[in-house]
Amino acid sequence: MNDLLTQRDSVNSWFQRYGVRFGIYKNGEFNEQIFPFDPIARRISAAEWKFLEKGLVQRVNALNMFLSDIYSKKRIIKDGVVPEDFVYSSSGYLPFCEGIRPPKGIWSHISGIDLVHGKDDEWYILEDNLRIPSGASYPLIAREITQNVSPSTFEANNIADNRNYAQMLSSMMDYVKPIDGISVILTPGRYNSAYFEHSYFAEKTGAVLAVNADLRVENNKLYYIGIGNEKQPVSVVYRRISDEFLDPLVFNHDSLLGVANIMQVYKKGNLAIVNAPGNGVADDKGIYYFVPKMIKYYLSEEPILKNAPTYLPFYEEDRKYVLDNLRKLVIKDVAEAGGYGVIFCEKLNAQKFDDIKKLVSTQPRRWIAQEVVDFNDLPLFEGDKIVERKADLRAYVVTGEKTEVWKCGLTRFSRNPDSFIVNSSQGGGFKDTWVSN
Amino acid sequence: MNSSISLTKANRLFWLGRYVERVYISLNAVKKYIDASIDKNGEAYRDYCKLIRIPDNYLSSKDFKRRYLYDKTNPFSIFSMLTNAFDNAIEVRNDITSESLSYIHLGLDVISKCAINNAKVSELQPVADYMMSFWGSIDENVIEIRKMSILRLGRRLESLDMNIRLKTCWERVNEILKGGVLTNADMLSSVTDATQTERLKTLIESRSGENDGTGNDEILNCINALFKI
Repeated sequence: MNDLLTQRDSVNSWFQRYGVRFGIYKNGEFNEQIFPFDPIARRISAAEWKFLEKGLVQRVNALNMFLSDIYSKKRIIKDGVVPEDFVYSSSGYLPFCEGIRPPKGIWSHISGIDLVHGKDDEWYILEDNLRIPSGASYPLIAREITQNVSPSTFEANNIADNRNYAQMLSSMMDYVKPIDGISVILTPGRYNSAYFEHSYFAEKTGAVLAVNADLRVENNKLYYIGIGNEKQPVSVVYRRISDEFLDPLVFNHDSLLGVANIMQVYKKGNLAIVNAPGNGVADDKGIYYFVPKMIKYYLSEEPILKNAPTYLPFYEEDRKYVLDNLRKLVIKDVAEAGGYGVIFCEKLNAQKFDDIKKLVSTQPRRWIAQEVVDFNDLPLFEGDKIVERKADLRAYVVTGEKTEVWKCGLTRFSRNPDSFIVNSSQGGGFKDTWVSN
Repeated sequence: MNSSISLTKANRLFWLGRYVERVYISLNAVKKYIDASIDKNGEAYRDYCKLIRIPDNYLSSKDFKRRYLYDKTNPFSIFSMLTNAFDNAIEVRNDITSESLSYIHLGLDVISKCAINNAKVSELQPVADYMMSFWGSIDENVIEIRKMSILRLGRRLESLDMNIRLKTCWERVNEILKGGVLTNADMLSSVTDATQTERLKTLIESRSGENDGTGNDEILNCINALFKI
């Protein structure tokens, strides 16, 4: 890897050249920043990957079965495995999706599963992202650049090629197409934090990058409207906008990003939406607690990958434990994402600690509590020095004809030595993830 | 499969073509006037502003060099032109490819660095070179004929516009008209105004010799009304 490490400047100039950025709003202003890249890759052995792969496929299959069940028969509620409170009070649950069967029955086509590697050598799942998991474009382009800058590094190491991700996406989109038509990537536009990814994936998959003004619904079909009023049928929308903004006639009426009546086309079965609307009910932080139970319930298998030890203050027994042990726990607001709403109680002053304690008692459904998983640090460059920082791994699982794990992933790290928060929106950087062949 | 081109995309491609060409021509043109300012009591830049019809609100030749080249808040500056090119390019990355887009990034990188030290205009030569490389990359990578035609129409209309402002001789202006504007406008009949195209042709073809500026307003209006989006 030495050759690659000595060429950090060259790697960075290629990142600059390709505009590998993410957007961030600060004080109401949009700024684009280079996503800090560290060339020391995370390495995962073939055997370890095999184990992770098996666990991730199992988890995503169970989550897809849960979504199918929740919007149809609700067996898992009737059988008392998941309390209905956690389903119907989830902001991700969409009553409109009741009775809908998405094309080929797939709900979560692209799942971003966040894991950490504990100091006890166990991998723990921290979060499932089944709505619009982002970030895969970064290790993808990083590999393209680093392999170009330092081919000898890749000749000397037996690393799985990661450049099949666009092909995985295209194949999945082709598989779920319910009618003849083009695939589009629906973006909210240039000022979205992940716009680089939207346009990059459009380039790599051959899908058409569209904004809402380019799309129109007529006779229960979606069309891409071209110059001269040409109409091209659309069969798959890989949407990069949230459920609530997708269709102003069904969800948020003030949405200026969505397409009027797109949900009717979807309901009629003339369109696949990737990922399916309504998935938020399954990646709710509260539902996370139940995923191991789902695996047992739907697949009759023992979960291969562990959740971080989690408590639900909703249950009296758990609430008591949480309130008694709050100091050593991390509390997460189920409505927040992106590393926000995560409170390490150990660090709170007395006043804040009491406030949180009160909130957990009075609004138990709003929170989950977890034991702090002491996860591994990874080496990275800080200036010319190598330091160690906390890092997680987002694995990407694509479900089309079969469920497959992309042999790579986004390793995000904290740049703050005292922090466990690795999100890019909070100053984190990223590494490539090398899976050995 | 060739896909349709939406109105938003067509608009982006057209203005991308115009801004990239505007950067290139402006950079080449302004050099001459900055150079002439040395001999002409520093006033030559005023002739340039008048010629290309931008507001002459600069305090001195030095102020002109700084603000016309590098001031991001000046809508007529080269920096603003390049930023506008980028703002259009970033929205059509998948149509023009990341490689083509990278030349705009590289140009922006150079001008941003030059702006810090208020570098002399000759140090912006790589920007002009990158604009040419951009077109080379477009020729290589953009396969769809209509997308290419929109980009080229933007480029050639801008070239026509700038050369008319700069009072280039009519023979050269005629070559530009025939060398790109008419063909591409014909291919894009759904987004171009055939009456304006015909009028433009008549107005330019009826002229020859030196361009003294007479009647140029009418031609410029025609150029700007030709693309209908």
